[in-house]
Amino acid sequence: MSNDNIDVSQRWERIGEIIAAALDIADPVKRESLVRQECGDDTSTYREIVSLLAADRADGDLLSDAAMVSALRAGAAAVADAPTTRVQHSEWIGHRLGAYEIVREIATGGMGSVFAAKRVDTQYEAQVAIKIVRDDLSARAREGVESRFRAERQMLASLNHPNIARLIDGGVTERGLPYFVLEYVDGEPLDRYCETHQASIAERLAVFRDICSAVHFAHQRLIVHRDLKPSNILIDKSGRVKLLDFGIARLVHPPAAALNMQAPEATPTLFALTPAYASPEQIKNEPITTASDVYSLGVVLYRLLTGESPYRAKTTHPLDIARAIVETDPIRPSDVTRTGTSDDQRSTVGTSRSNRALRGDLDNIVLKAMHKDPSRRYASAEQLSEDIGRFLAHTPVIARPNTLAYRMQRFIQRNRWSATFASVAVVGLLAGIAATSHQAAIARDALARMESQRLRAERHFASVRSIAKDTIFAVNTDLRKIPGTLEVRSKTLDRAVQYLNELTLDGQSVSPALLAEAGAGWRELAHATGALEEAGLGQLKKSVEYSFKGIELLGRALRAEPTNAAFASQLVHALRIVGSDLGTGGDLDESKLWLQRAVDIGEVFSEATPRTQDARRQTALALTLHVFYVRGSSAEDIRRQVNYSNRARALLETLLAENIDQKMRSRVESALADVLGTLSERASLRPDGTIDEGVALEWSARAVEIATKAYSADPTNVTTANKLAMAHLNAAVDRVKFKRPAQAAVHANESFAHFKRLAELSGDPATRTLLLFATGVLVQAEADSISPVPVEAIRSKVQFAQSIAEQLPDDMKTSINVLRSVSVLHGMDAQLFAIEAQLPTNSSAARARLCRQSVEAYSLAASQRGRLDEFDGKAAVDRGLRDIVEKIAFCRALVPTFP
Amino acid sequence: MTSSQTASTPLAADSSLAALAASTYQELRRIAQIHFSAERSDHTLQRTALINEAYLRLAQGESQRPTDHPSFLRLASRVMRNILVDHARTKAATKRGGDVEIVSLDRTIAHYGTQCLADLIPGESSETTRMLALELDFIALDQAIEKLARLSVRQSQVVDLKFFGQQSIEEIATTLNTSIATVKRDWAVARLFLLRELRAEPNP
Repeated sequence: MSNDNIDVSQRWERIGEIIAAALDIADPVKRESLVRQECGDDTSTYREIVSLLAADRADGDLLSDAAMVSALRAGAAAVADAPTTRVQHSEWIGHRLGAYEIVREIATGGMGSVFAAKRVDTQYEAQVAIKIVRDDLSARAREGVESRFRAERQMLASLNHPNIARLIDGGVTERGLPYFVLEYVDGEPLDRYCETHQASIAERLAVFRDICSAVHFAHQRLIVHRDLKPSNILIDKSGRVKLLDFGIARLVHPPAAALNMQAPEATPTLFALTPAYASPEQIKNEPITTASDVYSLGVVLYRLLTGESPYRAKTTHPLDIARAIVETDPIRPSDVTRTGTSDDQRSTVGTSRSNRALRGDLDNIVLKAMHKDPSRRYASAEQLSEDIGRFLAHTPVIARPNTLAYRMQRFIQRNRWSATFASVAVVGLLAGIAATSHQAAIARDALARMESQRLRAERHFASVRSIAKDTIFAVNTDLRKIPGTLEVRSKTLDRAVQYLNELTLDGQSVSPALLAEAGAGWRELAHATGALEEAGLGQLKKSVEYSFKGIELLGRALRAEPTNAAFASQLVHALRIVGSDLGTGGDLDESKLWLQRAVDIGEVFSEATPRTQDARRQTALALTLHVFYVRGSSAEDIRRQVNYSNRARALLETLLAENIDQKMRSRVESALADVLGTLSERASLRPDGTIDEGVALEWSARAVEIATKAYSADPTNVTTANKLAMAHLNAAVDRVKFKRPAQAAVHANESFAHFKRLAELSGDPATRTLLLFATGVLVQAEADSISPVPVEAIRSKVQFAQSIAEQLPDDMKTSINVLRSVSVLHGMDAQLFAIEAQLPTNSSAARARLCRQSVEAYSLAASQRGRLDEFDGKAAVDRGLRDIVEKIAFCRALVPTFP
Repeated sequence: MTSSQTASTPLAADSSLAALAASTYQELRRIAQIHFSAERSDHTLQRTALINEAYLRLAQGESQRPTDHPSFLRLASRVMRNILVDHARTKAATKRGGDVEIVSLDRTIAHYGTQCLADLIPGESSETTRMLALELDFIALDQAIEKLARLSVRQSQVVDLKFFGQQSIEEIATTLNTSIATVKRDWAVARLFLLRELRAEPNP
């Protein structure tokens, strides 16, 4: 073996040792630093190891990506070495370069130094700027500059644009340093200009559009800037934008590919560029196109708007900055101004006003320009500029939140959507195969067939829709106003089921809009059949079945168009119905599962597309229901209840603050009343599980206030009346709990009166259930607040309520609210018997009878309470039972002969 | 056509080894054809390393008695690789198909390819591995192993024994008369090396 071979195997042996050690470390950052430490100055070994470690990941572990890390390392080294190799600037003053004499230094930057110079061979004193490139470039890069400049001179000379500082000449100094002669611009760098002039957002955007137009002009001539940053953008005395250094980066740093072929060690010079503004592909040493400039423009705009850098690198080290650019997503501009800490820096832009302006469209514009994937950015600087123009003109921008589809997909993947999405995935797959099949003819036939199927389906659908939606649902709504039509309504809804079932929506030929429409039909059907709100037949099992059909179709529709807010809103609504009806029926685990999905989807949408007002309303309501069905007193449960309550309220209050139409406003208001009323108690939970009465009373009072306002505006509207009755009911419940029976009685009376009227009007089981509930609360409040207890009045109410309970559909009889109400009523009954038993006027036989009746009623109450075990929690039920047992003991004491 | 390639490898420089390699080559090829013929189902093979079978057969035969078991295993796993690469080359050159030998060797390639990939990318599902195995370039794999042999002969032997001798880490340690820890480390490094080489863009 030759010495060389021994060296090679020894080195390989060493590499093996380091890799073995590195593989023991899971954290990529720590792993990389171990390798760096072990390799010391031996960069070739370092690169070798990093490329080996990188081989293990098909998707390319960015950290260990050889090109990136080695380039960065060397780049960092170059930066660190720079001071020792820097030119002595003073030497240049008075120096002649070609026809120019250097007068003074203007600035020194990463790439070199800029001097003011004057032309010495002409009569007039033309001032120019001369940029002398730093002399720490590799010899090879230096050698090429002059010839490249000659080659590209024509092209650069064609860059004649009012916003571009012209490149006049270029060459290599006698010491071999490349220099460039540029049009002299007397101005300030962009960022400083904006600061000193306290430019408004509109002004900043106007300047930025000029920059875009200059960049676009160059791009049309196939010249990429490659190093756009505020210090390369000057504003002259007349306020005109001038871009510097067009094409220079390319001359100094020729395409990476060429470098890689000739001399890999030349790569580091890339990092003479400013990493903060470099695009991910520049950092990764991938091909650079005009899209890279669009990216840098995005960063410039980001800084203009926020005064901050889009990434939070751990340090200002180029390595960390580059890592952040490649690996992390930029912080949304609007979040920067909200959470940023350096107030003094952003004094002119960091106001709450600018924060609001950034939210939404401007956020999206900046983030689209800065997309990691070049193909997802604006196709040109001009497009970017036009979108800003649209923003300024208040017309819709083309930058749409690009994360939504992705996040929806992720959401769907994360949650096992059982058959619903699985089947959709298969359908999608089939379509994909059909589209990419090489058997084009077969595919075309199939497509034609699908198309005609689709047309047929849509024609059929149109006719069915008019029956199902316009006739049946409309008729159903009208029938609600006519007493005694429950049975008819139930029949019409069954009819709707038939029609909806007729729609065969299984093929891939069905358009998403059609799927969604059918899904919405099922959703509406579920709503009318179940018991989510007052207008329900209380047929919970049927309703759940319908909801699931709707959810499946809406899920398919949304999957096809993941950004469609109307679909999402319908889906959240359907999920909310099924969650509610399952919960009402006592299936709490399932209920929570579906409500959580409603919350997740709704929040993804609400966050990603702020304009989806209905989705936000639905989300708030889903949050409310979720809280309603989450019982539990662990710290985590409490935290979630308070958190969800506040989120629901915040969603609706932001909506109200927006410019929404009257219809939406009244919907949102009624939803807000619902949320405040239902959650008053949960929102006021303290971490130790006790209730902050003040907060609870504030929420429920506000609910009554909002509902009263809505009701007064439209007293004949069933919904507003219902919401008002609900608000009073919730307020009454709180006040019974807080031992304010007199106030409770007032609210309960209001609620009782409204629900009684509504129940007589429609007779809907859902409404009657609420009336039952209200009666239970009312009798409790009256028994607690009126002395002596008006036994007869209360008893007649109890009997009234019990008759309501008996007439409810079977599904509802076992529902939680009914069980609870009935338990309360039996308890009240027992209490009334016990009161009567104590009346001195009674004979001892009568006493014994009353006591027996009381005990019987208590046992009934106890049995109902026992069934609430799951919902209310064991402890609460035990407490209720203990209470009842005590009362039985009391009856025994009252009548010594009591069995 | 086949023996010349075998003979050109450093392992076969010794003439008696060369002769042994030649007969091993014949024997392995024959066994592979039997094992992977259309009539035999794949699962009969799973626990049987072809090279062990070849050893037994050769040991029974008169002419070329293998010296000792470990060195035979080293040789035979290497020879097995040659068989597969030869086949891949022949196939690439002629693109013919249908005869018994080709079909059975195709199956051999598919079998070994799946195993190589399962070793190289253990995280993938077996389905993915099977799909990828159809794409595995045995010629590139062979070149990569040769390149590795120039860096570390032992590591290339670990790879051969693992991929083509179908030996476990423990068996390899015995065959190479070294520690299990060494084999594990060699394999870890060799695996990364092969992955990198196979994933690299083909050199023009």
